[in-house]
Amino acid sequence: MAAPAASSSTTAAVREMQRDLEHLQESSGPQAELELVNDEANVYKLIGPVLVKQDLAEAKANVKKRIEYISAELKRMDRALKDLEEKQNSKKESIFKLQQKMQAVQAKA
Amino acid sequence: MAAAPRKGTATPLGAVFSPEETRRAVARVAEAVADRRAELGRLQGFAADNAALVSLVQRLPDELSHDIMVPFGGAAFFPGRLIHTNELLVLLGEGYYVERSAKQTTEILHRRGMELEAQVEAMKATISDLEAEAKFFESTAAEASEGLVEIREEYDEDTEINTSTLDASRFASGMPDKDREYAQIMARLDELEMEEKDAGSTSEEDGEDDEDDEDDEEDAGPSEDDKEDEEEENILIDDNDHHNASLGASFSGSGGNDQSHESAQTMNSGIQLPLKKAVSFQDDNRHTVGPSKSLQLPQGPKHSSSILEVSSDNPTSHDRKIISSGQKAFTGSIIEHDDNIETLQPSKSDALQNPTSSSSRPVSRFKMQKGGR
Repeated sequence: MAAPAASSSTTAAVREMQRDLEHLQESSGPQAELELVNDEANVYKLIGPVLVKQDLAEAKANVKKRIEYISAELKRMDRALKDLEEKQNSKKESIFKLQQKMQAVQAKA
Repeated sequence: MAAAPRKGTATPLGAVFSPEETRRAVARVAEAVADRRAELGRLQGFAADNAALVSLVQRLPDELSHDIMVPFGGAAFFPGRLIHTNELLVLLGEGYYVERSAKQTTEILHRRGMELEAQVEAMKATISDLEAEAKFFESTAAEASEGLVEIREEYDEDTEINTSTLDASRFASGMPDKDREYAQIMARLDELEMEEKDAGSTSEEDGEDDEDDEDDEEDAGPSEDDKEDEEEENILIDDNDHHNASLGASFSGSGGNDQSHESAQTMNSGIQLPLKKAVSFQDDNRHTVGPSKSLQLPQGPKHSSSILEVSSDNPTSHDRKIISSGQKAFTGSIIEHDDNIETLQPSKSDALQNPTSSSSRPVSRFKMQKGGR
């Protein structure tokens, strides 16, 4: 029962990674555009129903931070995924060994 | 089988790719293509929207203000005026808006359009790849269902040189595939004929030693005679030869009758086998009549008399068996006068008889096995 749990958590991790990747792409758009915007442009952030005026530098920093955070998250997910796969493989191996043992016992009996 | 030793293997494609699996693969790829097409349509819609927006944004600052109908609550419009036509709030994503002029906005929109175009192109490439895959699967499925065969040959230079001339000559002879197949079948039939002949002669010997075999013949006798009765109109076929008779029956269209007859008489194969033995014995006896009549004589009466005993309850066969038994009590020379043999003997020499029976006998044996068991 370890294998399904591992595989389900693997798929969950993959899904999370894909979501993070999407977020990364989404925030890389504003970043690129904000870099092109000249300094005296007004930048607003939509918070709930209202647009809040933001400093351009602040907005840039926010977006950058967000991207960094998402990248870190992606890396973390990557590592977690690898761990899960390793666990899965080791579990598979142990299952295989157990099956072999069982077959040997059955052959003897 | 008669051909030169073949190198390599011939695997029917249907065995490697089962039609069901190929069909499933085609369906799966088609599904993927459909998904990608939907995605492509979505992307192209985005691109079109973007182009429309670009043209609108480019036209907006042409006037200082625009008379428009302002949507109100989704259900109503009221007339209004669009002012500040060169001030646009552009959503960059992540909830960030930036105030831009129309010109700057069109630049942003163009960049987005380029991104969309790249995505569309990538999607198109993916679709064409998938379509190629689908085509491959489809052609494979079609080929497999047509019974195409995959031939794999290891290339070995020595054997290749040796056989290439041989192959060339064989192909040069231009023997059509059908003819070659026919020749192979005939060769196989001859082989079977030889085997059966051997088996027949051994069974004959068994019959001489073994009383049981004679009993078997007694079982076989009537049924054989019945068959002869059926076949008596068929003059061309030697009606004393059970195998020939059954073959003739199947050829003349009464094969079903013949087979049902056989299955009826040979409810278990235990009876059928002795029957074949007995018949093959008779065959053998007659084959050897020409060359060595005197040698076969001692066996003749013994066997035919045993047949006579059983077949006495069948009037027509009764007569014939009397004749044959009488004939065999004499010498081999009288066998020629047997009406059963006469149908064969005048038309065909012994040498001719062998090939004819050789072609027919294995077939009849197959028929018996198919019909009886």
